Amino acid sequence: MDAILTSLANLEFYLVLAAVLGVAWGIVGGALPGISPSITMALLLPFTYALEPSIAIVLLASTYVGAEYGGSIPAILIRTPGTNAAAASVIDGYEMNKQGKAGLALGISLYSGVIGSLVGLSALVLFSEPLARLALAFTPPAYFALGILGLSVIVSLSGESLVKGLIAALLGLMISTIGTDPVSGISRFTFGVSDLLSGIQPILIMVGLFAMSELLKQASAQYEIRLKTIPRIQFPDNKLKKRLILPQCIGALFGGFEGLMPGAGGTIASFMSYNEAKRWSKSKHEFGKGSPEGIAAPETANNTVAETSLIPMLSFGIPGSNSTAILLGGFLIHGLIPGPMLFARSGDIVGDLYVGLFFAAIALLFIGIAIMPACIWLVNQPRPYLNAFIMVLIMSGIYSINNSLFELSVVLVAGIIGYFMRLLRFPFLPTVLGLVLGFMIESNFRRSLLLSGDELSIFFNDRISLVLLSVAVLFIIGSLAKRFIGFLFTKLKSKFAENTGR
Amino acid sequence: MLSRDFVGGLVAIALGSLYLIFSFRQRVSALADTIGPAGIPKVLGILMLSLGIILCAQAIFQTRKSVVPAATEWDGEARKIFRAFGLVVIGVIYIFMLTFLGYVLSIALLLVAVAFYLGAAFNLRMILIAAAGAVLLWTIFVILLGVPMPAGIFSQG
Repeated sequence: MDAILTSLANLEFYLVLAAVLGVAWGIVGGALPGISPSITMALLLPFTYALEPSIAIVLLASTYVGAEYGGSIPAILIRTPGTNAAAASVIDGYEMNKQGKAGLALGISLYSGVIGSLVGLSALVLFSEPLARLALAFTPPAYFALGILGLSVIVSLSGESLVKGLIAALLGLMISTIGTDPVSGISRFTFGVSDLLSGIQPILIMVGLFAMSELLKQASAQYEIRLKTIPRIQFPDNKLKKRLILPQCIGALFGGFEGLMPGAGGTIASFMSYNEAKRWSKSKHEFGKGSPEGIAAPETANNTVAETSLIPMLSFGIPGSNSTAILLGGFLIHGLIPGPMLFARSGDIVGDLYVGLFFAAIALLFIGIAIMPACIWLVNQPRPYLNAFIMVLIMSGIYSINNSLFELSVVLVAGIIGYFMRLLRFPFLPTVLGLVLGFMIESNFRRSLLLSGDELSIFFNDRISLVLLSVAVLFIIGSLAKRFIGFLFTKLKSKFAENTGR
Repeated sequence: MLSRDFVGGLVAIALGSLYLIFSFRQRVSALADTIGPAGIPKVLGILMLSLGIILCAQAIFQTRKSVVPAATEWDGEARKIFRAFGLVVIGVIYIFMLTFLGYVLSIALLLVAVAFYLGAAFNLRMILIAAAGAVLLWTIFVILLGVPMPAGIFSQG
């Protein structure tokens, strides 16, 4: 709380401006089908290099907030969700549009998004702060255990194939070993290339995997999207606002919970809250036919997730989603390492982030209205030009970091890797996790063994390490059990269908 | 026909094997700890190799069970890969041009090349958009952010 008060006392105009610009950029990116929040953030990442750390982080985090709302614009207007999390808003949003209520549908989405952001921000402040107290007790074994806990998340991030998720994570871990060895200082896998001595910056891999590979994928895609009219955003009246309270509470609850769970993300939260809002609604029959509650619940949920998903990232340095992985990249390029020590060493930046996110939530309300014509203009532009500008932004942004042609080549190579990972259906996030956590795991594992005289018991004698390792084991067992139950359920369902002929 | 999982497994095996070979060739310093600079990479290489084999085995098992031929999985993919490769080539040419032609001219040419390659018609509008885009980006990076972008053939002396 002190950090927030200090940040407010020294509030800078540029911090507020970063929140406003981030939200605007996020809405525009979210509104473009095929451009996810993580890509929108990845495009911005290189530009943040020249900015002050607080401003850079606020800019990126606000982009995430804006993109979650931006995704609902094409979802409501053309039945094409701009982001995965906005898919649930298509159901009733598009129906309202067909009934001539597109302005009201967008107003509900915006209003619920602001409420979701504010609820999520409160949870973020409430839960992240106490974790800061752990900071000073962290030792090398505890950091190693923290890295293992981070990697255990891969079990739930792997999608349909755990083996593929593990291979993707190993790829990230392998990339993290390129450069100078953390203990002996000897070079590894550099093949005489001096540019590789300091390792490969995660930002290059992230931009390549998320943004460049998407461009390569879209090289053969056809987009024929036209938005004919610019709807006038209409906010719900008091009677409707009262009706929306319950679905918004449901959305905030699921959003809050799912944000904390790595890998769950806004999409699951949106669909779960939609289902629950329908179950608890007095007007169940309206769902699927243009129910305002059917927009309020998922939109509150995905904006809550945009804030609460920062809790595991800030507290433990574990990104639970693609967007938080990019935000983590933003921290890393400014030499900030999210995790327990962030609160102790850079409390001012955390305070600025909270304050910036508050301004972003408020700005969402105004920017969401003001930017609508610009969004619709941009969505209507020919896709080849939009993609050409995205390519140019990537190439310019990456070059601007270190004026290095080598780094441009790394991004292209990462883009090719990402393209083939998409083709062979490997998830990206485990690779990013492996890359980000690899150095921390290896260096702290080896330092711990040096400290203990090669005794593995150091990891169990350290209380924090023991707790974190136990949580990691429980998390892996829980996720595996969930997978197994899901597998059994599908088997039984297909057997039942076979027997009954249905 | 090979399924995506089988190809993925083969790639993992190849990657794991190569990585393992280089791990065994890793130079070890006299200052190294017990594990040494090659210790963790060796473990990672073995794991990658093993998981690649598991993925291949899974893919073979699934292909035998599946009633849908794997051949349909790859329909149209060769054309898509070829299109993506074209974009990579444009990116590589840009990297080679950048220091020689300078930022403004290279970025304008990149805009024209990518837009044209992705299907936009080559006309005066395209040239104007590329020129305006290049000037806008130069203003953002060089004037506003103070990034020293290469001047190339426009540099004095």
